Amino acid sequence: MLAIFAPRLIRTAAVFVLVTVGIFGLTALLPGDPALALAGENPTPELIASIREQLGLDRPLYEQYFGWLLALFSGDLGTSLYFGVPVGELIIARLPVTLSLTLVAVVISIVLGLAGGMVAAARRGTIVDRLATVLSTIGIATPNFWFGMIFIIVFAFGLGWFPAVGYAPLADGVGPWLAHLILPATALALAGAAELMRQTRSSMTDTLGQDYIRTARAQGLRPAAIYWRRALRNASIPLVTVVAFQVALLLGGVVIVEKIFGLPGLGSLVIDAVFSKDLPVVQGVVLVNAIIVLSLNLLTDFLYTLLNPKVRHG
Amino acid sequence: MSAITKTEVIATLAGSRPTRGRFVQRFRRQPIAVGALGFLLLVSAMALLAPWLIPHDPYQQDLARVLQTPSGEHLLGTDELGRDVFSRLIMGARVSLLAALQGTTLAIAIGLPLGLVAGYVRGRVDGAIMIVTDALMALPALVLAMAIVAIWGPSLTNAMVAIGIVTAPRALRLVRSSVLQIREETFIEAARSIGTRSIVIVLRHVLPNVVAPLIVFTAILAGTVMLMEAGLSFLGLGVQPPESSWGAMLGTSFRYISRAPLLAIYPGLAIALTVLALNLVGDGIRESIGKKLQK
Repeated sequence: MLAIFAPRLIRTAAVFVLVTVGIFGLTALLPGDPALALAGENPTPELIASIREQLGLDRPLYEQYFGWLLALFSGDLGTSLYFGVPVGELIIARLPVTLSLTLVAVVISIVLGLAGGMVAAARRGTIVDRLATVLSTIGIATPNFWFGMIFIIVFAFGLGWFPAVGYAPLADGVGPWLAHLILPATALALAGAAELMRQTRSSMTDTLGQDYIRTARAQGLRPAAIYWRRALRNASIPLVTVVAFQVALLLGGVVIVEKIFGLPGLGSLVIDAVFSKDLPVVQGVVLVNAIIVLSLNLLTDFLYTLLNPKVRHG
Repeated sequence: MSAITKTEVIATLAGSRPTRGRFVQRFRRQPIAVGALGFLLLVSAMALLAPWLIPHDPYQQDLARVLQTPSGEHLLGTDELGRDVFSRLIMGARVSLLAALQGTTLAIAIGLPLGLVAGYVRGRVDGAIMIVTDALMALPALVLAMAIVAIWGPSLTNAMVAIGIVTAPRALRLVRSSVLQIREETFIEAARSIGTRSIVIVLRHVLPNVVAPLIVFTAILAGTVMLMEAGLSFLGLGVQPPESSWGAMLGTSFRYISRAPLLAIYPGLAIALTVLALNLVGDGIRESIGKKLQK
């Protein structure tokens, strides 16, 4: 197991180093004097000097990078130029909102995607299958924030079932928490659900055509048993990858949905940071996101190996 | 019997590529793809001829008639400044389609040559290119594009360059994996064994075989790029007023969503239908090219 994973770990570490170079390099993209560019509309000499010092702009570039990286490993993501507090604190305060949203979205996406895909595969060629395909095609093509806007119009303003904006922490109870998350999470989940439905359908269709399924059928196993115990298990191998990929996509997709639903998560934070040119915050959020995505990729590889004996013993 | 030329040998080994005629025949047999293509052509024509098609000046404000519902004079009503929504939607098609074209072109312009090199040369060059690609893919595309735009300043060109950069790795990966398959084919081996130079092999024999999957991918990528442009413009990081794309129209409509919900419907529908059509055309092309390439 370790022999399989050692190269992957090393590669992930190398990719991570490159990611940090890239994120650090965002500062270098600033036109002209970065300190001046970051200081905003009415820069005072003190502000410019303090930014220059914070970013270490008077030192050579590689020194700046290693200083930044060293601070990073001790958990110091820098100080927000706008809020004046450590970026790490800002991110930790906002992270639960984004994780809650992503979690609910992933659950919705998996439930809809798996159910839709399995039904479509079982009823292949029927009107149900067609409908599933059409819906998934529409789901993939529609911007998630437009779904969000329509949900607000219909379910918040029209029917009044859910609040249109805001967030309730889990500490207030599961009910209010979920009520605030269900619309944005569904808006976010539909594209992923559509993708998952397609994958599940084709994966199940492939598996159901295999010889051992025919054998199981010939032996008189109940169709439900074949479907759930044998087919789904094998079809689930490629699905693991898709689900992990979905989580990564969702994290990237939350930005505008959070803004629309007034959710105080990482997405709203990064939007505000982009508008106030609060580069340390932007860098911090991008970095946290990259860490989550890289860890997920590694975890997927691991699960894939575990689930698939061919890879495990190959 | 006359001497067989190099090209003839390779052409024979390359097998029968689906001819253009058969491709069109197969494509025409798919009503959904044909319909989607028709829709795209219609939207493109609308965008090109926009200045002659619009019933009203899309920038003409009329503060006495803001947020009106559809009427005979204003087919889709008016927006928050009393401007004709229908005219703005047609002009918006121009910006949205041009933006999608720019972003997609840039992504392919970066991804195609690098993908060809990575896939054909392999070795360290491939390793270096792929590790940078992996790093870029680990970053959230939209947030990265936002950061780049924030740094350069909001404008449609900056937004599309940013989107082109962040989507280029996807194009690169696709090209590379196609090249990896093709380079093992007998006709490539034949070309190599008779001493054809690498650059010639890549341009004359590998590239033509990458084109088909790349076209399918481009149609789908254009949809993705369009969605990203809509997102950036929604936030005010893309096209700047008074010019407007569909995404930017959605952005302003959101502020009036409780008073004029219809305003949020039209541009969103326009985006969704266009992206849908792009995806369906992509699917149609995939179904119409040879079996070998479908994999």
